Amino acid sequence: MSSFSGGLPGSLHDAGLLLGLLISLAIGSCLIRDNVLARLAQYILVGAGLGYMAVVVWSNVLWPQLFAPLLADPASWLAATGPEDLQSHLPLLLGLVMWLGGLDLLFKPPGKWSGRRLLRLLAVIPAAILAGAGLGVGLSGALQGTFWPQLAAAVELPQVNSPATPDVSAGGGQLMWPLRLLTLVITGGVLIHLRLGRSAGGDGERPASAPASRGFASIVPQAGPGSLSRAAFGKVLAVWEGIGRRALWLAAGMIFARLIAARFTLILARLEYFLFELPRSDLWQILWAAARGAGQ
Amino acid sequence: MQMFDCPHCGYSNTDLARFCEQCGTVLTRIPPPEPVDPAPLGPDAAAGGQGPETKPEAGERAAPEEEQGSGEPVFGHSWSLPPSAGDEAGEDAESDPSTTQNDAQPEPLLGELPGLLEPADPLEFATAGSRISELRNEVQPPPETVDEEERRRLRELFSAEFPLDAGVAAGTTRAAGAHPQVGRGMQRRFQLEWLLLLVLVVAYLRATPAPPGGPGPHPLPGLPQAHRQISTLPPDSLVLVNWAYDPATAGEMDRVAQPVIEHLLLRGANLIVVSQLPAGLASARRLIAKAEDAVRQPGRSQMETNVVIEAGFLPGGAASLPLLGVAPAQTLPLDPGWLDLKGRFTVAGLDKTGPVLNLIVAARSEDVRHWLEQVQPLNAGAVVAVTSAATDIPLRPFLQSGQLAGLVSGWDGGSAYRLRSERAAGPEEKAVAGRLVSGQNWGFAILLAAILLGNLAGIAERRQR
Repeated sequence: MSSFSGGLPGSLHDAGLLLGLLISLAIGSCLIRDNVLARLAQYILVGAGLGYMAVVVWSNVLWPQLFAPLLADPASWLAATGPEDLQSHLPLLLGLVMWLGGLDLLFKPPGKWSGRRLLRLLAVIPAAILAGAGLGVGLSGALQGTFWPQLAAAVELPQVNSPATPDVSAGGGQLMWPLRLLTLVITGGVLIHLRLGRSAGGDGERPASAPASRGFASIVPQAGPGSLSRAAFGKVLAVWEGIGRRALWLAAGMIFARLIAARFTLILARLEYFLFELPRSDLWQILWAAARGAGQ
Repeated sequence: MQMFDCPHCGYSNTDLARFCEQCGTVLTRIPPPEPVDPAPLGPDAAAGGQGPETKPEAGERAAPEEEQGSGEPVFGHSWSLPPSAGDEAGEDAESDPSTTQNDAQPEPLLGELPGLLEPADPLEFATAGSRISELRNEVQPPPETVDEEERRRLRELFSAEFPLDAGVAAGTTRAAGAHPQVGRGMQRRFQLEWLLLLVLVVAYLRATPAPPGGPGPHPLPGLPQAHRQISTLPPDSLVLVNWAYDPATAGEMDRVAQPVIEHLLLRGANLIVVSQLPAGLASARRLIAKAEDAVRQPGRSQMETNVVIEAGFLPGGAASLPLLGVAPAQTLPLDPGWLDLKGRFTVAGLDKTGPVLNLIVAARSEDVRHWLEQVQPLNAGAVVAVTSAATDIPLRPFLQSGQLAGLVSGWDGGSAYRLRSERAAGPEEKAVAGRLVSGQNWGFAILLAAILLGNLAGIAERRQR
């Protein structure tokens, strides 16, 4: 058995179900008209979420990893020989500076040279560390975890750290080249559409995401020597662009279908809760019996 | 108290408001235009400005005497133009064909970004031949009859915000009859949603479970691999679980995650659960307790050997994940003193051998991608993702490239995984699954019918034209 076993006691579970019903009905009443109960339920939702987050952060992070070690040995920084000995003090200092700088933003801007101005300047340091570390980690991760493996898989380079190989069934290797050709055609078509594409009506409108461009005419002049081959090239480009445009819509449709499936599942889970789970709870049975008894 | 209409959505705001209560538009007051001097324009006027003495400062209200002196103050779009004659001048320019745009107002400071720096004006984005284009022609057949009220109504029509009457609910007053559409709630505009909900309720109540042994949901690629990956785990394997969903998406994610967690428990795996969402561990605790109850049956003693460790909330987002790949036991926000001896050995083994399997239970594709970018290149462990249906498509390339060893997504993924489970589902679980399948089918049928009818209506309308 683990710490996960058991869950909530039955009475608390039932109380949670009933509270969920009340909050759901209050927020759902917003469909008819905005009202005080809907607003109240939304405020409770946001407030409870923030309060829970604060408790989790305190009990999981701040207390065990920062304040408890500091209180156990407050003067440990005096004997510090390196940055690793300041792993509690340095975060505390940076956090305090950032916090005070944030608090200072609530007041009027300080004068030209003052302590408050210095505090605001110092508060930029932890913010810069946060942003810089996040950006550096994100960029290196994108290169090593997305760009290179995806590129390697596309051109079938050897994967250095790949823990699993693609599941290629018997005979699947023979089907790889049409798939790669299709990938190439669709990728090229989408790029052409986004760069040079025109609307289906051919009225010269660019897609919303495309940068400014003169369209196919910019690379395929329609007159002059060799105009026949250029016209054929332009036709090929137009067909390729059409494939890319349709592939974009197809992908958007597939994403939309899966998104709809996810949302349907969420609403069906709510219906399951309202129609089946809640009426089975003991607390609901008691309340229902009491209400019927009061009505008779 | 005097009320003023927002230039963007038409909501009536109080005199003191600096932002629209409905849409958040900055209500910058722009003084009314000076009478046009028939004399040749000076350099300042030609540049579109009115002189430094008449320019209101950004974010600062105009002086009261200006408002009183000119009646109702004029609101302008502070994001699109520098303080100048503003809209009034622009409309004057439209109404007078002889006046060019350059003469009436300066160029916007930034171009090529319509919609970001300027309000979304449907009339500006109307394409030729569209209904909006017709409306535009109806609204302003000759340029001199530009009707600002019609423009405002169209903006309201295209506004994404729900027409809730927040101002009335908050006790503020409104100009009588100014905006008859605002405040009616959604009951008149969302008939399709109500119909969909009603049919879903009926379908859900009248659902019949699928026949025993009948065909279940079609397993998408990635699911057999995930099942095989877990089935081949030796007993007491160490599985690091990143729980990346909270109660907001638990309605869907619980149905996907529970069969996989049950499978892991039945295989005797030891789970170390960490989450980067503050409420993630609450969801994990509830679902794992449910899974443990489900697989706890007479004669199954392997449950006693399962170790499930709640490793805590790991803050820092993606930036803290590389540490989890290098030194997981030291990174986990977990005090080994809280654990029993077996738990301590399990956590210590995490640093020595690393996890045999990484399981990502996530409602968003970003969480899976961050793991694949930050952790997997460092610990080279196999990764199985259990995700929402909405994140299935963006994760497919990672499955194709071999970075993901398996992928289970959506209610259909969870149901298909359940069919492969060693544990037979009880009658109640079968009834719930049957209702889910029935509800999904009916929902999709209604949606397809709506799309079909909408397209037919569009075709018919086009032919009438």
